Amino acid sequence: MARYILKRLLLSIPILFGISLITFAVIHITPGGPTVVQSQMNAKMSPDSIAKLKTLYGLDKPLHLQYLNWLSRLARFDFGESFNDNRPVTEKILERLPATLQLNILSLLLLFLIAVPLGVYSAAQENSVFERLFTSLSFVGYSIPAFWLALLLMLFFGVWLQWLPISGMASVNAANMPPVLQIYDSIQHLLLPLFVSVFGSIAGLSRYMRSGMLEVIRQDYIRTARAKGLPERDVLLKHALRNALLPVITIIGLSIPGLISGGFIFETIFAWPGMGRLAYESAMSFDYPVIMGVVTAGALLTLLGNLFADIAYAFADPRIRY
Amino acid sequence: MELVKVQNIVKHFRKQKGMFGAFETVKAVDDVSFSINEGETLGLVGESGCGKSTLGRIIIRLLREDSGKIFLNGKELTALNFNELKPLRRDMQIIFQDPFASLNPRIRIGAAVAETLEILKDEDAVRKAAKMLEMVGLPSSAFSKYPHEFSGGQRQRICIARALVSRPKFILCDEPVSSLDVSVQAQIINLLKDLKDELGLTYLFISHDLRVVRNISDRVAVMKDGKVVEIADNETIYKYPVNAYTKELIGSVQETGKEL
Repeated sequence: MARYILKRLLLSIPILFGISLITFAVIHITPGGPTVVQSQMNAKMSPDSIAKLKTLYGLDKPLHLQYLNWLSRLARFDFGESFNDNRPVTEKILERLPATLQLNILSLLLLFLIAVPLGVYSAAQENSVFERLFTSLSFVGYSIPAFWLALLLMLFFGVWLQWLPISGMASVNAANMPPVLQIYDSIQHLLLPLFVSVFGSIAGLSRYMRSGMLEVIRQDYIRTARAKGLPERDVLLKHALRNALLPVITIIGLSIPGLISGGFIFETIFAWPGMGRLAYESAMSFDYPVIMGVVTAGALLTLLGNLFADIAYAFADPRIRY
Repeated sequence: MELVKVQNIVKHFRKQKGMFGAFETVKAVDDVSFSINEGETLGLVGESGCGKSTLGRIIIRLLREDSGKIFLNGKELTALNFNELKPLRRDMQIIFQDPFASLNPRIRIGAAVAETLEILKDEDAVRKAAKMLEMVGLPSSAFSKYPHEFSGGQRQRICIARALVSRPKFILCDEPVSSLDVSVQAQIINLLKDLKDELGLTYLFISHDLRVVRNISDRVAVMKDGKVVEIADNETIYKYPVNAYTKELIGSVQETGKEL
């Protein structure tokens, strides 16, 4: 097991290397650049001062040197400084992380609490009215784009009913509120983003859970359990669910990077000051070090999440040994 | 003496063609009656889809019939609800075809075998389960292992142990050797025969393989399209088949040159 983990960790080094190389290439191939963004609307910028800017950012050096430079700093756990405000990339990421974590951990918890029982119940009630209703509703839920639903909800609850704030994490005057009201205020801000982020995923996960459950229920060992006289509840929860939950481990593993990276469009729509918005802003302003930092952190977490899922499998399923 | 009595059992399934298509009725079991004497093995043969497994599952109360009655030892099973049926489960068990699908991959062998008794609130479940595993020819180390650590034949032995641990009177064998190699088939058939004599069991042996059925059965019933078309002694049915379908079935095996 320890050997397997070590092997997987060593294998992830070339993968990370490849990912960073491709990201680096893509952002430099993209037309435009930080100097263009900062100079094209400014008539006073002379070619001379643009060249000075390039030297300042190190963009005058050949591309491969820029990449090697970035790599050697990364080896010392240094992601470099942002072009926009010259602050360390690590600092900028850590500053945005709590907002994304708060929203995503809550939404992941809610998602599993709702989707798993829903899927199991609908599998147990196969061919019933509930199951048909569930199947068609989840199809609708799966098809609704999150940004469109977000805009509709903002219009309905924020503009027409004026019950909920439409964006941000807290009101402007939140700092002057007593603690209880501050918590109430942040819950209010959380509701819409949380709903939208959970809503879209429930359909997918619960249908996944449902089909997994249906597959297990058709196995002969479930029939045997019934023939033994085991009550249906025990058959479903003791024999079937334990096997049907296995694939969910993969989904949890895959959602780990999502916990940190946040949604680009989603966070931008709700002006949620998280990682997704940071990535979006840095992409719009060609802030190379920040883009590289966010992508590398996301890639690392994806690899770790996969490794975590594979290790969890070995514990959950006696058939798997490494 | 009759142990199992099947009386006018009917089971139809309604199948819809496509989402808006017309409903079509499949007569899986169509007015079937027969009885199995205590200590007897009744072979039930027929091609796949003829309703033999459906019939078996109705007898063992895994499926509900549309009409008809099932008696076990004189008690009418079809009149009982889930809880009333529970103590009677001890007397009837099932062995399935695919030993890879019929063992829960995440439950240890010992626990799987003992569970039958635990449902019946037997306090000696663990010891009895271990003894039963020994009886079907498995090493005592099998108790704490998982299903994937065994071969197909060994797994079928585990399934047999699980079925027999409550000391039932009646066992439904639903194609118990069809997914095994021929050499292993013979071992399992012999084991089933030995256990029958030792424990005084009664089998309903469902199979599409006439050679296997002939080997183990005292009487044979032939099923086609939900009906039992012929039922007779083992020797009689192979030597003097009356029904046209039975003749065809036996003829098809003889034509392939395999010894019956």
